Amino acid sequence: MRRRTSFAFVVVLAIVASLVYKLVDIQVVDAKALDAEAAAHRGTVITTYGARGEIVAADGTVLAGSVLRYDFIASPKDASTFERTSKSGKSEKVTRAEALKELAAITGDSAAGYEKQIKAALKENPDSQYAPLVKSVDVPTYEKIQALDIPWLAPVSHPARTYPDGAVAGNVVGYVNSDGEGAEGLEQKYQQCLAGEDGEETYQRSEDGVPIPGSTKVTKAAKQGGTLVTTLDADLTWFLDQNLAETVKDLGAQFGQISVVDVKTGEIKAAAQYPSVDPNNVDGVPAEYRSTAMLFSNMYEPGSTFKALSAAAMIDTGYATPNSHVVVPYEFTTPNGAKIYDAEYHATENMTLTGVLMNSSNVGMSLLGQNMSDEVRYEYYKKFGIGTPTAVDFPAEQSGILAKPSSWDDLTKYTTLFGQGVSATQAQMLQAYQALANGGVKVPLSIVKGCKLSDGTMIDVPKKTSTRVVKASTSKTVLDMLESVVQQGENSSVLKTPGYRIAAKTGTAQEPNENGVGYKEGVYYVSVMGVAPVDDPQYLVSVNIGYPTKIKMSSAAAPLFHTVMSQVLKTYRVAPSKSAPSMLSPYF
Amino acid sequence: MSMNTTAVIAEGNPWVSDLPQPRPEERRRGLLAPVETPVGRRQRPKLFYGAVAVGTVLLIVAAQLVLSILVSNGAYRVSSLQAEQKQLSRDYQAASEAAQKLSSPQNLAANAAALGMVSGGSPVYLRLSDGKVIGEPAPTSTTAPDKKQLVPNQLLTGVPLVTQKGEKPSQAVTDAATPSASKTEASQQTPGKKSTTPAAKSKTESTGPVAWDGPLPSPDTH
Repeated sequence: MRRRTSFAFVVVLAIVASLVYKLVDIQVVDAKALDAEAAAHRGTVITTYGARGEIVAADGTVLAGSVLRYDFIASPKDASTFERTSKSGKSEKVTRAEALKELAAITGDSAAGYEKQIKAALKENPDSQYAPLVKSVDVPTYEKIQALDIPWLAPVSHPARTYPDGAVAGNVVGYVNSDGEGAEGLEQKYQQCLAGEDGEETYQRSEDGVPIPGSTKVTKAAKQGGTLVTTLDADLTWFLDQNLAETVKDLGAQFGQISVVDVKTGEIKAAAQYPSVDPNNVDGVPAEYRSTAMLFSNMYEPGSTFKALSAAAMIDTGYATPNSHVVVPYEFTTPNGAKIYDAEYHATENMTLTGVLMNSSNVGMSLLGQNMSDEVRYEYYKKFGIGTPTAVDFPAEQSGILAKPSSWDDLTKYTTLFGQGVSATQAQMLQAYQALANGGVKVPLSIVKGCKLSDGTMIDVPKKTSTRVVKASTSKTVLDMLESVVQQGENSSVLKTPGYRIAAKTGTAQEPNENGVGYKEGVYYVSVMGVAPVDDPQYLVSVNIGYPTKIKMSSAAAPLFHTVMSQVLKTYRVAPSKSAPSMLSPYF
Repeated sequence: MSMNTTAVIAEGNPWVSDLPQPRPEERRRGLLAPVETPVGRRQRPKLFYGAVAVGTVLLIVAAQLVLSILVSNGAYRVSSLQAEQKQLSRDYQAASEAAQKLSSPQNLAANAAALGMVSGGSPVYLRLSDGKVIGEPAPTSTTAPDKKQLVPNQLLTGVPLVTQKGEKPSQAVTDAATPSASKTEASQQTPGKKSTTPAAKSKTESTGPVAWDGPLPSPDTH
């Protein structure tokens, strides 16, 4: 009797155990796979879009945003006369030709073209249900087309990119390719952060098309792309773009670049360029301006603006002082017989180092710098960042060319002193001047603050490791010397901004021949680099104009520099200088 | 009956228990007797419990029915709200696209210039501590330079300036979102269901500029 009971108990236990096992197996172990399978059989699958993140200016202005665009697909098989309720509430018959005409009136395409597409689709396959008639229209157009109530025309939405500010910062922001992936500029560099990931949802539909409650399953959650926060100021960039375009046209030049850097943080506030690509219409500019920002990719021989770096090296090592004397003739022959001239003929003058910078004398610079160690000078250039790409690491950024002193020939030894035989990008010159203006401390340039993910965390925040390039006293002395260009130099009437102490250096560089020997006749690259205010350096402005034909002197860029610097001081509410200009003496 | 008698009997007959002897009246009645409660009263609670159980089941069934009606009712409401949300997010997209486009510096500058505005000269500051004017005040030019907009923005093609006659720029860019909106919504509504939200109403109201009532906005000074 007892044995029988325990036997039954064991059997029941075994059955229960096996059932529990199967239950757990189905409900827990295989649940996901089975659910998905079931959903696939019975459910409707919809894609939830994970939008590509925005690229915004420092103040949040959208420079690149994601929107939905709509395609309309016709079903040629069903494209025949249909009935609809007109606006007055009456029922009316609409033929295919009429419908296509209405559609064409909205999109601006031709009705005949639509008819052709439908016929072509039918010819290929009489049962065709696919003829994409309308591509990528925006919401207002979508609404208009939907209002036509054409039963054989169905909308399909897809994400697209829009650039509300057009060519403003378009050269930096870049654009996406036809697959929606970053192809140029920041769009390319921060592809990983910006990209969203589409998700999937399934639900079961009742007979009348309504999702059955509780049947919605998120099979894959959509991931929204991060927001890329740049350091740029859209309004300032527009102002620079507009004025640059005017000046380039007035001077009969080919192109130009203006950049503004915050001296203390190394943030690039504006990087204007002409011509600048409008990412909404990439084909609107010549091919060479479509890719990557010129400030990072365009190498040039900096010319006289480079003299400030040489002077900094001389002052920092104690090799020279602002008052070092030099007798400057128009022409100077190096020990090896190479000849160096100043830009304009002048009688022999007694200049100080300040005067050499103010008058931008190549001969004076050569005479003063010739006995300084090439190695030491090279090391200073290196420390200023010449010859190495900036920390921004922009796509297709160039590193410029700074040869080792061992490979300098007799002429290069002298020309490097005044910025020839060396090439740099505008970004590198900005980096060097940033260090010079910031009390001698180099803070790496940056163009983004970081990428803000949807959960609020910031990634890709640029590292800001400061390094000292020259002494604080050197920085102050060099700026005081450069102030003479604005206060006493030949362009001073144009460069001065009342109330502010500004240090600037003009440059007229020649464009080397493609074969590397000599320079192109009459082809110049004029530039101005400047810092304000001298008593508390805050903003650095660099203006470059490529190949002007009407005025080829550095005075060509001076008025534009003045306009830009005044605007920068106004935009950032920089308080006027409290101290008087240094007024170092240029002659002895 | 005394203890003694019991003890005597127990001594003589060891099988007799030494439990106390029953009292005489107990002996008369015998050891077992029926409980004196009426049969009817014992069955009445059973009926009550049964009724409660059946009632509960019926209630659950009814509640379930009501709930599932509500849920499926809700499904239609959810679906219509979702359709409406889609429509609203489309409207939002159209509006924010238009706003971004219109607030682009190119458009603002072109409109400012068209209205005859000129940009100011160098800023001048008034230092509060000593009332000193810092900077050199100078009037700006009163004639607006006839400048062309040289920074391209394809999105602004066809957007008129505020000074131009005809459609307002805000309408040109958001055009048509209004008339067709209610139509799209109606077609997405389930037959026999009325929208429970006031979206359709607000749509018809949103045409034209919004009139300002109340005091003019002024800066707060502290």
